Amino acid sequence: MTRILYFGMLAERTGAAQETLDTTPTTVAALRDALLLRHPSLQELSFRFAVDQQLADEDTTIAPGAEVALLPPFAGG
Amino acid sequence: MDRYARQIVLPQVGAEGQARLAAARVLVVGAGGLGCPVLHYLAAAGVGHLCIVDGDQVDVTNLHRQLLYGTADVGKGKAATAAHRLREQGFDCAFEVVGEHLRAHNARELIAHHDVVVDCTDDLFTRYLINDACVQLGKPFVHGSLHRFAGQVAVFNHAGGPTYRCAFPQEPGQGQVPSCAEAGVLGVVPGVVGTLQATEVLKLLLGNGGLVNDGILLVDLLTQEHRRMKVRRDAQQEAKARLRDIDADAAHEAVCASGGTGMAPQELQQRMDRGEHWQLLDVRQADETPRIAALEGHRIPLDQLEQRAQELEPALPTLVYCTSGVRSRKAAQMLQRLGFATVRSLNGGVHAWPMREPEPVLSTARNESA
Repeated sequence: MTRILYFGMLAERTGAAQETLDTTPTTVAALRDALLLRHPSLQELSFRFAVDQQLADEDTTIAPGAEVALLPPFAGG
Repeated sequence: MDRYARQIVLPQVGAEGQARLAAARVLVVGAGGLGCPVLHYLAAAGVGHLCIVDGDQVDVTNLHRQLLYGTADVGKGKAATAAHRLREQGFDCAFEVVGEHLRAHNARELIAHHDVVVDCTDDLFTRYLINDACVQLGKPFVHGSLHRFAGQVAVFNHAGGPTYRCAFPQEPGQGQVPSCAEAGVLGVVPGVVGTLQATEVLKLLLGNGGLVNDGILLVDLLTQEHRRMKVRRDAQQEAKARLRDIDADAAHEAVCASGGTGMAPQELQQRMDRGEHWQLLDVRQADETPRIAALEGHRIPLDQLEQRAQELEPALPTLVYCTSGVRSRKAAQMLQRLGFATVRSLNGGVHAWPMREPEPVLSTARNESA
């Protein structure tokens, strides 16, 4: 199980601030593919993955039970 | 020094810390939702020199969150008005007013003369410019930004910590990330985020306390869940900032300016009267009024322009307009980057279009600034 958190505009696109995935892709790249299939509207947005509150790269591994967050830049000021 | 007695008594401040604040020079870029609380608290704390950079005017839609301004200030320049209001309060602070936006032509000069930069802008283009100039000049900058009820705060480029590009390497297209005007904002949100920025600036100047210089503090004021996301410094992204040719960007800005990205309504009227054919583009949202019959043409809101630009003919001279000329200027710059031959933005927007219209209605005026 992986807990996914969506921030900013991403939460508005997915319609939820968080969701739980039963199957856990083991890398950020694999998780990205799975989430884009699930939420195609995220495709056009710019964002970073954070795994256990550390910004991650495509090849970062995701341990079972990890908390994954999708963080976009904010523009407002 | 009685004025500062309640903070000098703090072990983290003391007389020495107060002297550091008095000697400090801080550049505040943007005097909007974030800039107002930043300026107010830094001035009150005794920061000796504050430079206020903002080229916008106060709009009535700013007043619910930009608390340095009142009803009587609508239409006045923000930087000068903020300095005036703060001077009235008798702070021991020298205020410098720069009534224009931070751009490639003035960024390095302004940043070089200050100890810390506070990023209170509302557009990503300026944010990457601040980042890159700060990396080149070795200056820290305290970032703040928001989306609806959520905010991000970080001290970038300080003590070996990450830069903004390390967090967000991919520069998003203009309009891909909504501003406050587009997304909406509750007034207290920039108040909280700006106050957090001011806190980080003061701790940075005092050399005391733990700074958010190893990542991003993410505050969600709707749920009151706050998180710290760690960010690693990325040598490649730092190099990208270091190698950016800001002078070349400034030269490009000058070309755009002399090519006249702006056009006065009278000039447009004369050109159309002469029979020139201009492709007209309204970049306001679909529900915004007034509609001007003489300017009817394409309608593509700014936030969709990048995706829908192919609906337009790039070879035709194109005139872009919005409510006041702010969004259309951004749109014109975007179209120029996309290779449109001639693009001009209507100065003052539909507000400035009085000609031959029965009623230049000023309803539903929107504002694009912070």
